[in-house]
Amino acid sequence: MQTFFLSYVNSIPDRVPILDAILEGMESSKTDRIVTSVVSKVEVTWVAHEKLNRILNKEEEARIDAIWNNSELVEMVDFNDEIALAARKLMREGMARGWKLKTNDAIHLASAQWVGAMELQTYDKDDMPRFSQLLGLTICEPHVIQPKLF
Amino acid sequence: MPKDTLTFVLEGEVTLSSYAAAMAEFNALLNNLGKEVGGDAGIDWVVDELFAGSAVATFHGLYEDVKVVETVVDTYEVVGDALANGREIPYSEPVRRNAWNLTSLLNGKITSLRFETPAREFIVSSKSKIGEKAMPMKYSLGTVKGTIQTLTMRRKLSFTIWDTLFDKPVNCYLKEGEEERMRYAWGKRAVVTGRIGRQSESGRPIVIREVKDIHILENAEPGSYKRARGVLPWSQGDEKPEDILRRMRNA
Repeated sequence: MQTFFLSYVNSIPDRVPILDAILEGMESSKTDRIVTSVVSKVEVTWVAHEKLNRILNKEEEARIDAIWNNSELVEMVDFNDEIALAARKLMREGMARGWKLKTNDAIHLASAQWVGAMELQTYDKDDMPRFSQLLGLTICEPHVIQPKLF
Repeated sequence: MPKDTLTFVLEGEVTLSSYAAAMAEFNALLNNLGKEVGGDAGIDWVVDELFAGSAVATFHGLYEDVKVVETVVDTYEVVGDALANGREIPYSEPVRRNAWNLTSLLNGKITSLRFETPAREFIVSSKSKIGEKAMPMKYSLGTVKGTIQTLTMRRKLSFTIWDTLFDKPVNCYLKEGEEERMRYAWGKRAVVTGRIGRQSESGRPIVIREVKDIHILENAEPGSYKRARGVLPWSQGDEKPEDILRRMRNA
């Protein structure tokens, strides 16, 4: 999901129309939310620092926080014990199949599973989608949308 | 503050007939506990709160000597503890029968029972029916976000937050002197930090003890998220965010 948010803060031209449509739909919905791990907050900033080769200033941070602080739009999921155990299990099961899974990938997948998300939307086509069957969770590129997307 | 309230919860799909049967057995359990440890005290158990999301019912005991009510609440914990942990209930046959009859309500549709007091909580699942120890609740520091719906300061210092993620009520207990934290909180969306008790199987928050912080959330202006668009401009030929992220995660 972080690639979703990063694509939005990057305003990538061929992605913005679909992201805008998703965000507008979610904000106006009474029942649906984008759910993401609290880890996303750190990762978005981490990638921003890498891209800019400097730390974000206060105004830039405040603009990014405008997404995280909109509770009509985004629900943050704490990293908790159940998610930690599920992430560990995913890493173990992935390894048995010869699939690599990095810690943060595992946390995002386990968080989506824990909240019972309908879909996990990401632009990451490499490592995460093959876990779809293992999790019973659709992993796909952002599109407009069904309830409770992660 | 007297410990004179207790809560009984049925989790799952609760029909009217199963709820009625549960309440009849629960009433009998409290009456028999009162007879056994309260010297046949005729305690009136008055409904304090009812929630439908799970069938949550909280009662407070009315009797001239509050110590008698507190003793019954303590024994209610003992019954919950014994059921949750597959132990013998250390009371009379009628009390044991009432308690075991309650566990017979675990029929697949009703998935668990919860015995809760201002001090402790016990979850009884179907494993208890066959004498197995149920998975204990897990406790960790954390946060729950939701809407604050009920504040109680008369008989217990507590409030209920309606958890946004699971769409269920979570009872939150405050210590005496902390009630000021709740001023102006009713009906607001908030993040509550504390020691969270979670159901083992699902990880769903059930209760928050030792509340550390209550952060009231401001309503975001509609469309305010748009301020984030383009804060880190991307140009043709730049590395895509998924490539930066992958490179960094793999480093």
